[in-house]
Amino acid sequence: MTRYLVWRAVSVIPTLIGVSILVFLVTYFIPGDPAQIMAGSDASPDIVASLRHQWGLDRPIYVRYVVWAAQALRGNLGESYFSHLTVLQLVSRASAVTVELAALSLAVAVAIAVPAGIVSAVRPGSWFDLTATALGFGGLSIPGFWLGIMLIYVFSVYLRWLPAGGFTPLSSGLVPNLRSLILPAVALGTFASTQFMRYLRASMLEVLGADFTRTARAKGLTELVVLVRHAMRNALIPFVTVLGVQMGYLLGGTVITESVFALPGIGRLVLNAILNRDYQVAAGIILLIATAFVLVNLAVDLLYPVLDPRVRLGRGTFSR
Amino acid sequence: MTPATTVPAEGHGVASPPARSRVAGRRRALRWLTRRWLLSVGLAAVVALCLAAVCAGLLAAYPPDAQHMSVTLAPPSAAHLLGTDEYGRDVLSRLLFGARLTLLASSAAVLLAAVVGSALGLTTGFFGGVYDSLAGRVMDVLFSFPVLLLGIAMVAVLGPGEPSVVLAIAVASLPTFARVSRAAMIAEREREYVIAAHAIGAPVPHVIVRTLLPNLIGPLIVLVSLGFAYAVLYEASFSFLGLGAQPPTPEWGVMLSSARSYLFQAPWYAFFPGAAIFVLVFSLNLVGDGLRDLLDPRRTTR
Amino acid sequence: MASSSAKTRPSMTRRELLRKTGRTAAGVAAGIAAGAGAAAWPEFGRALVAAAAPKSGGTITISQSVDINTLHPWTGTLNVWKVIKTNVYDQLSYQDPVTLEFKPRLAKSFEWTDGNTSLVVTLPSGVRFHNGEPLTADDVKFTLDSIRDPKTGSWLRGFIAPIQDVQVLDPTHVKIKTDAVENQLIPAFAYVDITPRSQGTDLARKTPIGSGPYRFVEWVPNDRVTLQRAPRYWNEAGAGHVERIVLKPVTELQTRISQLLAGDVDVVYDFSLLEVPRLRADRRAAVSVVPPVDQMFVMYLNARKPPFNKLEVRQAVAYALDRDAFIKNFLAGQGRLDNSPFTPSHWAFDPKTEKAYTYNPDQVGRLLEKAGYPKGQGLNFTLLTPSGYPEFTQLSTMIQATFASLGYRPPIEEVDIGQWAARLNQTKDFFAAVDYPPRGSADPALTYSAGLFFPPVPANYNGLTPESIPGYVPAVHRGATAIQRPVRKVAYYSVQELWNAYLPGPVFCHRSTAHAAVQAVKAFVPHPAFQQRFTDVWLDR
Repeated sequence: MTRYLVWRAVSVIPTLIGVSILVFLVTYFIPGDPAQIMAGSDASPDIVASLRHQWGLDRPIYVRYVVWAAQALRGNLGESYFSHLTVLQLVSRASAVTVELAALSLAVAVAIAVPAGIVSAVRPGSWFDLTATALGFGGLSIPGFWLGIMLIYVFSVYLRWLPAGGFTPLSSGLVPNLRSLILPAVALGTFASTQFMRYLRASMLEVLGADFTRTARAKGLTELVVLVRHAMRNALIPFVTVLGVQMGYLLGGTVITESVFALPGIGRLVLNAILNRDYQVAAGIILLIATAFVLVNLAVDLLYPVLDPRVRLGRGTFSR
Repeated sequence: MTPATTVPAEGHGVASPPARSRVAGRRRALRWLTRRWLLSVGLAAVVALCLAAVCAGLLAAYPPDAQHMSVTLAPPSAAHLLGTDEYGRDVLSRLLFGARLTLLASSAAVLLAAVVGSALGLTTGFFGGVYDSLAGRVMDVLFSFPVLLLGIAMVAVLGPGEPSVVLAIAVASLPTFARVSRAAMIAEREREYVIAAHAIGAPVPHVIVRTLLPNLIGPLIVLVSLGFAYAVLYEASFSFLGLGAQPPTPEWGVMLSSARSYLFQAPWYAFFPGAAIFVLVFSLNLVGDGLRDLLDPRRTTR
Repeated sequence: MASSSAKTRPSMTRRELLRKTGRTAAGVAAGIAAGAGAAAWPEFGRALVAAAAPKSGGTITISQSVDINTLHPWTGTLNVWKVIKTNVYDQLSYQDPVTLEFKPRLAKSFEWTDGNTSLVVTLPSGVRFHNGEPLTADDVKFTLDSIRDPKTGSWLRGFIAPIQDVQVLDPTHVKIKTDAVENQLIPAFAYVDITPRSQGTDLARKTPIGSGPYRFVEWVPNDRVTLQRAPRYWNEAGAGHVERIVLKPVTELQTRISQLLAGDVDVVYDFSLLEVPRLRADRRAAVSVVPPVDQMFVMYLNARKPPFNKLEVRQAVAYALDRDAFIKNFLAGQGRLDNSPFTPSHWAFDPKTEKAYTYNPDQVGRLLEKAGYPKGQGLNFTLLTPSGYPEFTQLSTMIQATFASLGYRPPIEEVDIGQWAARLNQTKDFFAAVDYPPRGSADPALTYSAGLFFPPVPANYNGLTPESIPGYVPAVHRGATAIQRPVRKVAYYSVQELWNAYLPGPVFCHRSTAHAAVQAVKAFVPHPAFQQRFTDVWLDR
């Protein structure tokens, strides 16, 4: 067991190296030139050339990778060509928004999914089950940006309950802060909630049919006790793994949600960095996101056997 | 969100609840029926959309990019059943021709991922060794990126447009297929019949392929139909970010995304492409879900 | 507000004056503009008239379409940055947003001396930068010299290119040496932000220090830029009323509009004209549409390679756009058809350009045939557009449809803005590309000096340089250096006619810009060229 855990932890290293190479290559091959963007469409070639030299863009690719990777290991991911803030400064500011948004979205997703999933599983085929399934499929079928625009129109412009985008930091008070994130969290969480619900429903169904549940029932325990003490606990354990994978979706989804809701988070930062050819910021953030994703999944993997002693870990599959 | 997160999760999920009472039995039967029913509805819708796409040339009253600048943003009428867009183009005709592109692009992305991914998964699962761990690492690396982010970066490299989007979605969903097929191969490799076949000198790959493929095809079809649904949504997201199909291509995501500028002037214009995407994705989800129930080996034994 | 007592009566009278002159100017201009088919001005006037006694204080939140990409005053090119920095820095001159005339701002006066080879700029005394340092002639010289230095990489270098030398006469006098009267200089100074020489030229890494009515507080990328009213602006009459200005980048148009209607922002600065009718109908918003005088839609054509090396094909493009339909459908009627960088309200506008090119698909067909591409056979070009600029794509899509109806459908290549600029300017890897260059309302000397087609970019077409058009370069030079308005007029008429005869790239139409504010925002007068100051704006709440 311990050997597995250590092996699993160590296996992250080549993954991270691969991630760094891929990130660097992708940002390197993005056509276009930050110097040109900075200098504007009126600029003459020598102006652009001098900016390129100033930023080290005229050095060979492997030199740039080695320099970049070595600096990254030391925690220096470079700085924005434009704002001249370091990537870490930019990320630390933006991640506060995104982490809060992701957490709230998860909360929204779980709040919808857990009751809906359990009731659907307890009464499979009931109207509730069918309705929840239908709504769930509906939630899965709406393009994210569309849902966002609609939410803003209904709740901000028409009902005027919530602000129409923009972020109010926690320092301005908890309530304004939460108000500014409710709609984006709902927009982002809806998709995830459907995933959760379907997952939970399936694993509940399995657990409810399992021997130990049958035994519990045979012992004469009430349905509620069976449900809460036996079924739910066991059904929720594999749920943890989905949370890990869902992080990936949430982090990707923030790109759209943050654009629609004008939130100064990671997603928008990275999108703008890519579009503006702000290589260092783009590379730095994608690297950080991927690293975070790898580590979250590592944590889930390490946590899983602890939570669920039944798990027998056999030969290593592709890390998950 | 990758298809992987739902499929393996539920693949082993829908097991038979114990026959507790006649009520439960009836409920199960009802559920079984509705599932079949939903599956047929979904399938019918997908097939209808495919037919519409194939027959777009016959069904459409106008060429998809014929502009009529005097009747822009017209509401639905006899001449334009679903109204016109900002260039006075017939929305219905564009939706029909757009179905081609949307279906083609999404299915291309998913099939590419499925073929390459499962080939990779099956071979790595069978051969193991250095090849396996190397490919495994590569898949791990790809899997470390949120799909949309990887897609945006790739589209930024390749330039906006449908081919880039297809490739981006395909690469991003590759690991899912690789993992599922690899896991299936490994499980199969150690089954008794394989060992037996090996013992009697039968060509092992042949045996495996003959027995494995039928078992694998079910989960793969499910993965494909769900991946298809995601691909449609991802395409819409790319269009929203301005990285999708090029004008005047009547791609649904592009239509929806340019319609949002006219949301209040001409709500129907935004409604129809939105509805088309919704119906397609919804049906694909129904199909995927229904097929999963249908193809789950444990269900068929019941 | 603590600083409100600093605002004294004289400033009020000056404002009163401004309001009155503004109203008459608006009235006159309304007549001109209405005659030209655009009736945008009355609203302009309304915004001015609406002012009662201005209140001081408060925070105004303004949404812009994208985030700024630098803090450098001389290298930043985005309109969103102009809107910000014009408030932080002082410029020697400014363009009046209503009359469109260029007037002294920081300078007390401009005077040509030494037989019209020197421009003496007189500065006020007692001006201080936000860091407390005094602004003197040395800072003006430092700024001009730095911009002229190619190493700085400023896009303004071409604007002030005629300057030979800058001499400091005394702390309040600068002498600018030229070869002749250079009509572009005073208008160009409206773009030149005076910075303290103590800050050096590496300004992108520093918090901007200017002498303007607002002090720069912070830039949080993707979130906001905050400006704070400067406690003691040297020119009390030009000081701001509002205490804080918060500018937020909001990319999604629908969100921007929703934020305004929900009252979450006070001003939506520069949004799609398509939303104008809807917002006009909404009582929560006051819409200001700037008349279509400054930005113009043009199509850059790469005359270095086929098919646009042939005049006929270039002309075909000019005939291929149904400009009326474009203006009606995509500019919400807020534009005007022109074949000139200027509009009839501009003194240099050549009436002969009015009918130069109109929409005529048959003519397109004839020209293609004449050029050796009958029914579009053999044509091969693309229309390059940047993504995120819907009007560019719309214009290209309409031209595409015209060519398609004649037999060849040019693909539209939508690339992101960075690549678009690089292909246009650096690699010249393009056939045709739409743009909307500004400065149609500026002095023609500036319009033609500042990169409108030639030079410097995306010009330098082999085979079609300014020099290769007989009479073009001398006419531009004459217009830029002559003193008499009639002489200049003749020169620029001939420039415009040569332009249309050789057609390096067609001008299609001018475009308005639209801005909206909540009702509590008073005296907001948008600037046609984004040289926006918010000093007259006040909040009634």
